[in-house]
Amino acid sequence: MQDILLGLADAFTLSNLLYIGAGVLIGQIFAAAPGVGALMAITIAVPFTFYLSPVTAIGFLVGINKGGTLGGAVSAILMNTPGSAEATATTFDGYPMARNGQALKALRTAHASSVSGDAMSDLVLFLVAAPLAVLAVKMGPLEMASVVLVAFVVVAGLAGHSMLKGLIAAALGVLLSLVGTDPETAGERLSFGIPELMGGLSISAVGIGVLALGEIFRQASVHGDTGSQAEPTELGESSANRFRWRDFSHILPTILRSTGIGTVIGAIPGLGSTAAAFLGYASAKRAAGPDSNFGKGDIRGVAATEAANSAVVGSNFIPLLSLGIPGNVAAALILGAFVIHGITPGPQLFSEQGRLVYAIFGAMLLGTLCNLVFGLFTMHLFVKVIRLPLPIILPCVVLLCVTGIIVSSNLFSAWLLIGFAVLGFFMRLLDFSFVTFIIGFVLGPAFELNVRQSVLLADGQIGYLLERPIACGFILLALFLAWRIGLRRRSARH
Amino acid sequence: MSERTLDLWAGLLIVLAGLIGLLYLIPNYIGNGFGFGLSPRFFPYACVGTITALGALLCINRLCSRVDARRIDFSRRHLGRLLLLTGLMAGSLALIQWLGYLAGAALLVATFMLAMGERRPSRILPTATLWPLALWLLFKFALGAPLD
Repeated sequence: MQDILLGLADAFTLSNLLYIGAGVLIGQIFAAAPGVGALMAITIAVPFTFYLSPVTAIGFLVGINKGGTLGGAVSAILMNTPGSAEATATTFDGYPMARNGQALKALRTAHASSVSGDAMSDLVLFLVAAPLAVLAVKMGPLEMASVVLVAFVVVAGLAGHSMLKGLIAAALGVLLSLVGTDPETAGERLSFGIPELMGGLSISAVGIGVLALGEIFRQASVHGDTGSQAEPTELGESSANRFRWRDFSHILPTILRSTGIGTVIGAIPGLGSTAAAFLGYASAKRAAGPDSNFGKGDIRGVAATEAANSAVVGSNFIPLLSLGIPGNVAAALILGAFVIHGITPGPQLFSEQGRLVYAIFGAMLLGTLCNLVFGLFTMHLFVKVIRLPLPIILPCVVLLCVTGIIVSSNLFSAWLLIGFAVLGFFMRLLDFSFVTFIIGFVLGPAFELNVRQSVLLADGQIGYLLERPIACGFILLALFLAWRIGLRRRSARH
Repeated sequence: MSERTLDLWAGLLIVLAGLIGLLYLIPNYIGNGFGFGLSPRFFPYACVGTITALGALLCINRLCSRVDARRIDFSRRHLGRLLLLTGLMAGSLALIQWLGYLAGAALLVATFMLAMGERRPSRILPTATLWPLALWLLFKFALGAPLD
């Protein structure tokens, strides 16, 4: 109890509120701009958090993540162009609503649903993470290594179209995390005598290169000139365009259903908010029946999508905080920020740094509050943001990426960005899941440590494995999932 | 180009890179350790071995597969644009290294805007000067971390 109160006191400070508020605003703006997205904002922001305290840094990044869930809906509703993939299903009913003169109502629906879904999923996180960590703390290195193995297989199987490519991406991520020095002997490992590589590759360089620049290079290379954009619908004020309490009570059952779906999806590594949004939409459409107005401007369509994709934000912290396994790329980047600040998420975190965990929970509450308040006033600002053409936004984002790396590491890392950008470009082109790659890179050191400890404990005896039924169960589960998902993918191709 | 052909090439390149890693990079660029405990080469060998084996499986899988429905929109023109963007970024970083942040950053923004289809000097000039200047001022005076 003392940890909870002290943690919340650490979180509820003016400076934290300012940073979290700034994070929410940045997330909303980046996600509103089509082709940029909140994920890019989180990636770029990670190096800028080096100088902040752990709670402020994590709060700032979580703020961007939360803001991003709302911002993505703006261009989906006003331009029929989702700001991020998770807002794609928002276009189905959001854009028809805008065309029917209900643009503001659709935006307010997205806002109310997004904040409600997010808040409820945060609540589930607070209730579930600690008990799960108590169970997880009883696991040894072999069990933890096998849990990470299951996570790799699940993410590889679900995040892309090919299990084989996903596993290659995960192994490549783990391999790149080994660059630097050996944890036992301190000998050089693949650093080629370059002093800047002795400390390993930074998560900022890898993340910004593969996630942000890789995507920008893809957009600029494959789509060519990015100058043409649709004009957004105007936000008119009329009685039909107003979002009232009775509208909220009408969409509340949809919000609750979608929040449940988003929370479960978010807690499973690899699925992410896009899958949650589509499942939430499909479920609401099914529940509404064949006579509904879905697809032609039904307010419940917007609510279902936005509540589901926002509910993922809180619940993907469940595996992150209790097991140290990120649920998606945003959580993987936040895990990278944890590591940068000397914190190792996982079962021990609750017992060793309970105060910090509750401070992060407090920061998440502040983020949800900021999202609620800012969303009331920023809709008109978003309309201006989405008018900005990509040939202006993207070069500015590229410079922000380079500047972030120069500030957080050095110019050498900025040169590495080019290589990682090209890698990210080809991973997208060839459908090698960059999600799996980043998760492999972030989990690599923990995976290696647990495997090493397991090998030492086993002392070369295979019988040690048989004495650990939980680990055996997880390894068998990993093999079964690899076979099952691989088979399903194969039959889908045929 | 078809996805199957691209996957085949990707698989072959992965196997080739994996063999280079197994036979040349790991033995030459990772030490043997102290002779007790796990060798520093253990995990890199495991990772590169896994990647090589999976790359070979990818090749075999695509060779045996008769389905070739999906086309990937990638041509020499796309590769040319990628090389152009890579070159522009490398040139700008070189300029940052030799002449300082502002010169390289302005070149980076201006050339990327041109590469992305923007042709109006009324947009290129202000963006390429004001955005780098704003970042430079922010880091120098507000955050106390000069970029030069």
